[in-house]
Parts: sequence; structure tokens; C-alpha cells
Amino acid sequence: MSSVPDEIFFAGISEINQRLQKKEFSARELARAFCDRLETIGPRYNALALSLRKDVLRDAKDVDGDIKRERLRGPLQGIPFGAKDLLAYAKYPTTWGAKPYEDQIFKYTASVLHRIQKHGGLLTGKLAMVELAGGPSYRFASASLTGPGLNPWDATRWSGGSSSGSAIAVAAGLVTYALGSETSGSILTPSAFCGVTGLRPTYGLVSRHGAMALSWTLDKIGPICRSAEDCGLVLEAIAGGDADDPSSARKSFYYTPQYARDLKDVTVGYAPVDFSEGVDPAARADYAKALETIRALGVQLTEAKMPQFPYGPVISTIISSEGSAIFEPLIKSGKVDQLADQHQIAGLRAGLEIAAKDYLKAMRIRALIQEAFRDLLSTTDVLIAPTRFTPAPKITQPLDQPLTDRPAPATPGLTALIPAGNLCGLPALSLPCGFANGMPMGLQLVGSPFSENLLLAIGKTFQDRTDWHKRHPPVAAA
Amino acid sequence: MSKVTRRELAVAVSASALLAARPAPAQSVSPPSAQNNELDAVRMQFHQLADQLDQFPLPMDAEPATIFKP
Repeated sequence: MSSVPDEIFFAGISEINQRLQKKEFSARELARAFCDRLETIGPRYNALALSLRKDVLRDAKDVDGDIKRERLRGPLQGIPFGAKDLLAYAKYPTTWGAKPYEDQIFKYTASVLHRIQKHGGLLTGKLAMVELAGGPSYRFASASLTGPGLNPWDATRWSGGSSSGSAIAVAAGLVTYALGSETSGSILTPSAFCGVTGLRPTYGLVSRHGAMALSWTLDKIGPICRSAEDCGLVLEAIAGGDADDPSSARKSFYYTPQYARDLKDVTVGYAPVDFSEGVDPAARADYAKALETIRALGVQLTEAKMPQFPYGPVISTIISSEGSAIFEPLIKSGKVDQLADQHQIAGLRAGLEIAAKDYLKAMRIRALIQEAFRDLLSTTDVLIAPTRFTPAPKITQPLDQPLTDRPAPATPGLTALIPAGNLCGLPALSLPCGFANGMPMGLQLVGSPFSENLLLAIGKTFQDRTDWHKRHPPVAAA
Repeated sequence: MSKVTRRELAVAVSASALLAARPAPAQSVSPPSAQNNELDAVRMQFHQLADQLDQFPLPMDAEPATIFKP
């Protein structure tokens, strides 16, 4: 019988690390227990790309030796985690969730994985993802080598993507935390749909070396965890300059909740319409409570207006142009036809035909958007809005259509905060904040570049006063 | 002569393609005609995106965003 108690599968990083140091169980026992769960439950939700049992048990033995000799390497030491299968891990397949790359093996390991392993983190598996991280666009949740990501709260619904396996694995207690990536919404969306906490770091803060590129000017790597505090601990380990990543901002990050600004000095902007007509009616009561909890933190809540720009056309043009340029060899080889989603295939092909003038126009408007957000965030420290305005859709629902037939509110509120925040390279944190008909909903916080500590401080204080992040789906034991 | 919008053109193209399509046995890979229809539809979407960008009043002195490190 395992000496690892069941509650550990849903415990936070600090608690597990302390119990390892107290030798309540060994890192090897812990890794074995998580591997069992990942290999048994992961495939039920199409969350697992590759189990790394053999390697992780070897690494866990080393961690046990280090703990025995009191060579302590920080809170991530001995903690099992997973990585989206867009991150290279030497000598093992890295499929990017796509059939044409199912046998792809790199000789090197992504910088972020190296960094976590230096801290004693235990990589238990590669996690499923939407093929090519979503590419220009896809129509169905089934756009993945491993099938549609099934939501642990209701397996007839989608997990969200493109970091689908990462969010599923955290929500179902298959790993303690996971790495995901975001070009436009791929960390925040699955985090909200699966009821976990996700952090999209400032563009350039976390190295992308060894990660699949979809858009050079938009891609970010970030953690999906149980809490804001865990996101801070993981970000501290993975952030920092990297000579192998041309986009690196060469900045470090230290998670310092003890030095957080007094929240009474913090201005939080929101659009009332988002919390009334905008969001799903079944979740409005929970969002109203979430807003009151934010207000009760002592922050100054003010109404915010989104600068008016064609966010959707701008970001779609940029992702399609850059994505098709990146995957031009795949498209021209004809192997693009092996992808699962016809809309994705067509999007990649058509993206090669986007005129340079249209890409440049999108980038010129993007410069104006960045300027407008600099102005907005000079008077408002943080913007908040529902992460997604509807709960997870059914897995058969077309994703290139609106997810609701409710009429759009007369004013748009901050509905375009995901594309806007990505175009500006801004950090964002998604917190579980309630449910709509049994499905989790999220609240996103967006701040100025490199304001992760402020977002995490608000997130942690919010989670100190709520228990949404502690709830988990009734997933059967392995 | 009345002007045909891109949206109307897309509907007409896909409707005529549907009428011309013959019933085919189920298969895992879409037939070429379906792939062509999908490609035409996406091209049309991209044209619509370009039209939406064109409608934005862009000042002459607006330069492309080239610095991504905030």
C-alpha cells in the first residue's frame, strides 16, 4: 500500500515539500504514486502525451539522497510536475500535439525544464496539447494527436486549449503543477475551464528556448498550478535571462509576497457590464461575490474602459502570418494534411498568402494598442474581468463560432482583454472564482509588464479569503 | 449593378460547391473538394480581417510594433 496519502494529490507545493523534508514519504514514493495516477487517469481525459516514469524515478532517488544530506534546493525539490508537449525533452518524443511530428526527437532539453530540474523538480510526464498550439485557428476540440482534452469536471465538455493536458492534469491531481504556453489565451482559457490557477508571464520573462514557436512576437511559457502562491514559486524558478532565447528580457523574478504593495494603494479597473450582462447568467452571483471580495481587499475599484481597437483582426493576422511562415516547410511538404483539424490545415495554407502590407498594418495598429495600454495602466494598476464569459463548451461544439447565443451587451466591456493583453505582452493571472451549472469559471487580473508580484499578491489574498481553488472534481483514484 | 459583398460571394461559392458535391463514402481524410471549400472559406475570412484592418484609421506616422520587450 502506498505511504502517500490521497490528499497529497491535491496539495500545494510548499505543503508537499515540507512533508518530504519531514520524511513522511520519500520523493521516490511520491513520484511513483503520481506516475500511477498520471498513467491511469491521464488517458481517460486525453491528458497524457508521454509518461517519463523511468527517468523520474531515477531523479527522485537523487532527490531523496539530497534531502537525506540536507542539500535543500528550494520548494520545488521533489515536487512532481508535467510539461506541455511543446517543450523539448532530450531523447524523448516531442510531438507538438500533431501527427506530422509524432516521431520528433530533440537532442536538447528546453531551458525551462532544465531550470526546474536544477531545483530538484520531478518531471513525471509530457502533457497533451492542441496540435501546433492551436495554429492560426481550429474548429473542433478534437484538433489533437491525443484526441479532445476532456474536462475532469464533466468529460462531455472541453478542457480548453491549447495547454489542455496541463490544465487537466493539475485539476485532476495527476501532477502538482504543469507548464503551459500562451500565444493568445492558451494558459488562461484551460485554467478557467478546469478550475485551476494559471499565470501568463510578461513577454520575455521566461525563456522559450526549446519550445515550439507559433508566433515569435506573442509566445510565452507559464505555470498552471493550484494557487497563486504556487504560480509565484514556479515562476521564480523558470524566469530569468537566457542567451539561447533572442526574445529574453534578461530579467529575473523573485516571488516576494512579503514585500507586496499595500493593496489600499492599488487601483483595480473593471467594466460593470462584464459582471452583469456579459458573463453567463448562471455564474453572475459568484462573479458578484468575487468582485465584492476584491473590493474587500481594500483596493480602489474603478470603472475602466477598453481602448477601441480591432483586437481580433490584429491578433489573428499576426498569428496566421507568423504561424504559417514558421510551418512553411510542413505546409509545402504536404504533411500538413496529416493534421486532425481541416480548419487548421486550411488556415495554415491560407496564412502563407497574407499580404505583407496586412501583417504590417496589424503590427502598426499593435503599436498603437501598446501605447493605449501604457496610458491606461499608468492610472489603473490592474484590470479585472471574467477570464472567459461562458463555461467550457461541449467537446462537439464548433469553436470558430460564438460559444453562446446570448446577445452581446451594448458596450463591449473588457471582453477583448485576452487578445489585448497578449498583443501588449502583459502578465495575467486567472483565478477560479465560481461555477456555472457545475463548471468552473475564472477571474483574470492583468497588469503592467513585470507586475507579476502585484498580480500574485492580489491573487493570494483573494485565495486566502475564498476556497474555489481548493475544490477539485470527483476524479476516481488510480 | 448591385455590388456583391465578400460574405455573399462566400455563401454563393459554398452553396454552389455543395450542390455540385457528389455523395461520397465516409473516410478519415476529407475529399479534395471539401478541402478546397475549407481553404476558400478561410481565405475569405482572411480577406474580411484585412477589410476590418483597412477600416481602422491608421495615422501615417504609426510605425509597426518592433520592440516586444516591454
